[in-house]
Amino acid sequence: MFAVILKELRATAWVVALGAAAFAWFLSELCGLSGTTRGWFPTNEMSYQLVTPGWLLWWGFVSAGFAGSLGLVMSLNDASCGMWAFVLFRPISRRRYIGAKLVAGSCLTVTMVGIPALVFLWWSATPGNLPMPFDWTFALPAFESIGWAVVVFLGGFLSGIRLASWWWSRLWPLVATVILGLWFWWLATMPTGLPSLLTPTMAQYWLLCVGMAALLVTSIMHVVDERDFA
Amino acid sequence: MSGSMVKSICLAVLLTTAAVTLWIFGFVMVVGILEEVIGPPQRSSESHHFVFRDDGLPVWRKADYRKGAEFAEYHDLDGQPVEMTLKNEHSQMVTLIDSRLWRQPKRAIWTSRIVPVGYQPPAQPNVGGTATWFFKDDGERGYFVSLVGVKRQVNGYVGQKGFSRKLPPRSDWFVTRSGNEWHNLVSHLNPWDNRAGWIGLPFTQQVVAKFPETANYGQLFVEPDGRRVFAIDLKQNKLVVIHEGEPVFSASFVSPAKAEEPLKAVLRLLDSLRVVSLTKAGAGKVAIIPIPEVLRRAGALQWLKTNEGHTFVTFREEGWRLTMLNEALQPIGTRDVDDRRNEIHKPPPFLLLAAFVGVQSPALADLFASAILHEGTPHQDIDTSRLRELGLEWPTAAEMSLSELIAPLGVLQLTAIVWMVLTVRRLRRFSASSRDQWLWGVWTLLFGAPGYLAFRAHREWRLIPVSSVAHLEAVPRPLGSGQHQVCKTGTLARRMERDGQECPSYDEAESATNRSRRLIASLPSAYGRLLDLAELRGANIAARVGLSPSHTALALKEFRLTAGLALLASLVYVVVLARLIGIKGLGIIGDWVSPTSAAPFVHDGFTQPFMVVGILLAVWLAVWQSVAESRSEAWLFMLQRPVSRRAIVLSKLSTGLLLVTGCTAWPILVYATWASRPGSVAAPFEWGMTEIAWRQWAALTPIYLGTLLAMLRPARWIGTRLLPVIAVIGWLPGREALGIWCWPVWWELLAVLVIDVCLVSVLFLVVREREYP
Repeated sequence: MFAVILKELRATAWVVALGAAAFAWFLSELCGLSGTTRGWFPTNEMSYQLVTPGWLLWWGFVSAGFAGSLGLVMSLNDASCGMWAFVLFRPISRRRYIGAKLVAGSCLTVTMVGIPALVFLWWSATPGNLPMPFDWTFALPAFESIGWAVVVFLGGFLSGIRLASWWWSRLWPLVATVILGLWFWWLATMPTGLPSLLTPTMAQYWLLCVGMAALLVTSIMHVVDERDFA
Repeated sequence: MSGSMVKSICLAVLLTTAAVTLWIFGFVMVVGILEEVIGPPQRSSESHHFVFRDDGLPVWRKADYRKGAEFAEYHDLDGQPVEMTLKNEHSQMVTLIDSRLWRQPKRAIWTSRIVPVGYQPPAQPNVGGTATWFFKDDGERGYFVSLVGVKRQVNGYVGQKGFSRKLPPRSDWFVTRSGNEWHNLVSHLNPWDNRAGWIGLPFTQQVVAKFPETANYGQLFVEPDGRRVFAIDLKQNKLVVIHEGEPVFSASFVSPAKAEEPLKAVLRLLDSLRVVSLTKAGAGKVAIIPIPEVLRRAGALQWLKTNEGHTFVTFREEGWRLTMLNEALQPIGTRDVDDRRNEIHKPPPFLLLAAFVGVQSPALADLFASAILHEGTPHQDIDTSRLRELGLEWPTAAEMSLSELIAPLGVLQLTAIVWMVLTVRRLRRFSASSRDQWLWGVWTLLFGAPGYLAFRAHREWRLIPVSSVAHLEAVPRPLGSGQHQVCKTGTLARRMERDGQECPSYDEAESATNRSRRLIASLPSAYGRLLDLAELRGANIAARVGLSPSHTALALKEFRLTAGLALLASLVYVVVLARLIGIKGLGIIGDWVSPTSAAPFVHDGFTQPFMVVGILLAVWLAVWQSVAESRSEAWLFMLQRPVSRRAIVLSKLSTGLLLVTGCTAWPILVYATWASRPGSVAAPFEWGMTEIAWRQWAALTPIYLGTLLAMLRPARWIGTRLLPVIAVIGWLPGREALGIWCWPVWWELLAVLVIDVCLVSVLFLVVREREYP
């Protein structure tokens, strides 16, 4: 299983490199080292970037873009040149093989979204960098995004592995997880984004993440069991 | 219930979630587009505002924006004209909302942790910079902190014991939370008066706090239980306790009427208002104004000092109630005022019906309706449960009543029944088990059209062509099921046996069950036919001009390969141009492309979207042209044809360049033609203004050629392979930096041509020298 994880890490290294470049660019924008997006987002010296709507939305897009791409690539990379028949013939069960993929992808997603968040939090918590005091609660939306990024990764994986028409329902899981992320993560973190009854609390949000992830993993395993990989 | 079925249901739940999400997202987008096309309802230019004259007389002000911002007509409550101007309006009304009613944010707790509260100018001009004061709260206790200068160094702190240069011990911080109670911080920058409109108070505020220089006390801090109130002067770094004892439920400032008067703080207690003068020495004179018995449970109370005494304003569902006291603080009467403002609108019933039916998910619509009815207050900032718990009064009528929602919800349920019938009918036709019929029937009843879409996406219908078994029937099964189920009985089989019909063939069944998929598949089919037609025409033209059949075949192959991209880019340009020339319904694009309102090509938003789409087209085209030959080792096949390598590359280049230049030239021409027509845009237009666009247009050809070179040239990606792309894209900022854009246009075009020739030469060299595949 460890060999499968290593193989997946090698196979998706280019996606990770692209994701790292995207996050590096975004971090440089956040820290003011790059000015390519100057004027895109409203700048308010009295607010912390990763809790303001514009920056937070773009953070979500970069995270979801990386996670969704990773899920799609990881589920489709064995489809070329009849690789499925080869990998499923190894002395390891289908479920373990796909499980290894999911574990590798989830860990990559958590790492790739978590590290930039930590770097920016460390930078902004250092006195002299931002014109305001720091509070640990500023880290909450960035860390909540990690949870939903894993859900988006699983959505991308299911979209890739489930046999359906690309014109019809194949991309539903990926697109739906992205849109639900906009709702449960982004809109819900706005102070007056949603009616109170429709805004999940922090605990409910993490429950939703876990619930959606469980639903997606179950569905992926179901598709893996039923699908004809020949 | 088997494990497989549980997993199948999980997939069904997931697909339904996806379908509902996409449906509602699509519905919201359609509504947004329709709203933009139809436009907002025409409103009267007149508006009515309820205000007070400076002596306390309640009056109606009628404004009309068509007659100017300063236009105002005043009438008293009996409709008699009143002589006054904007300057005579009372500016000292205080809004006191019980601070226990404010709803705490559920998720965005950081909004209350660091709050900017004020600025402090430097002690000496040009020394140190302005200090910014924040209130920092850790959820239990908090303190004021000041950051100063470019380096944002901490200047000082204010805790319960006053100002200090070092962080005070935690025991000296202000208490910010006690059980279920929160502190109340009122800033003179943001007194409650300014929030009156936000929470839906039916009272138009015209109060602009006019604080003279003598008004130093900028903050009021009320402890969570309201037993102690601090006035904090962040300019002088001073702090004073202005109240101790009875709980204070709300606090605000009242601006002084005259410059020499001190600033006053107004504290609302259970049965009285305390008006405290804030002088440089500390808390001064305290005036006590009793609150009439009937107003003590009002969640929001407004107070006004008049010439005759005092006026309290409370609000009801239909308007306001004024309660007047005389100078001796004795009640002298009440008066109800009906709301005649025209800003508040309820959606017409047909819109409400359309909205609920459009959502198409009865379960979700019920949840929305419950949320609407449950909130029950004019604004979501007010905590309804706290309101009930404290027994305070607030107009509790919901914005909508249950009776208004019954009809839309009923129609929605009826539409869901239609979907349920379709689902069950389909399941019965394929002899699904009654369990499946029940499950999906209830499912579509709950989720309507999205539920039906999920049902169709989740199930597939396949007949097993086993010729040895007579009268087989299709059975529904999960998508991709590995176990083929064969059912010998069922309604279809029985019906067919009765009618003496043969069992449908596999193809017949497929065609009968895949109608919707065929409909979707007909789009690429139509596109393919269009390509065939274009190819035929192209071959005829090539024959007329005398092009050899081998070269014609190469050109047509490249055309088939790239036509889709050209079509896509043209479609995007159509949308961009439609937005630029102001066609309604494209507001969803946002501010990226705005309708032209200034000089075309010079001060409008044409260049940015034009270049973004153009660059994407050039890069994508080059990548696609090379990848198409690299896949499955098509190069080896290509190079075996009886044509030279040079001819192959030439066909690629000529097709690609023609496509890039053609697809990006027509938007400039169309846009310029539109702009040249009189009446199109309120700005002058000369054809020479298109020069900027043509310069950008020319810069796209090196991008295409450079990308193609990077794709064809064998080298390390992390090395030199990407250099041509970087170089040609760098041309865009480079021509700005080097001032090439100021050169005469032909010079720049010539420079681009030289670059193109160099790139084409290198491309020919690379194609000749490299090894394939």
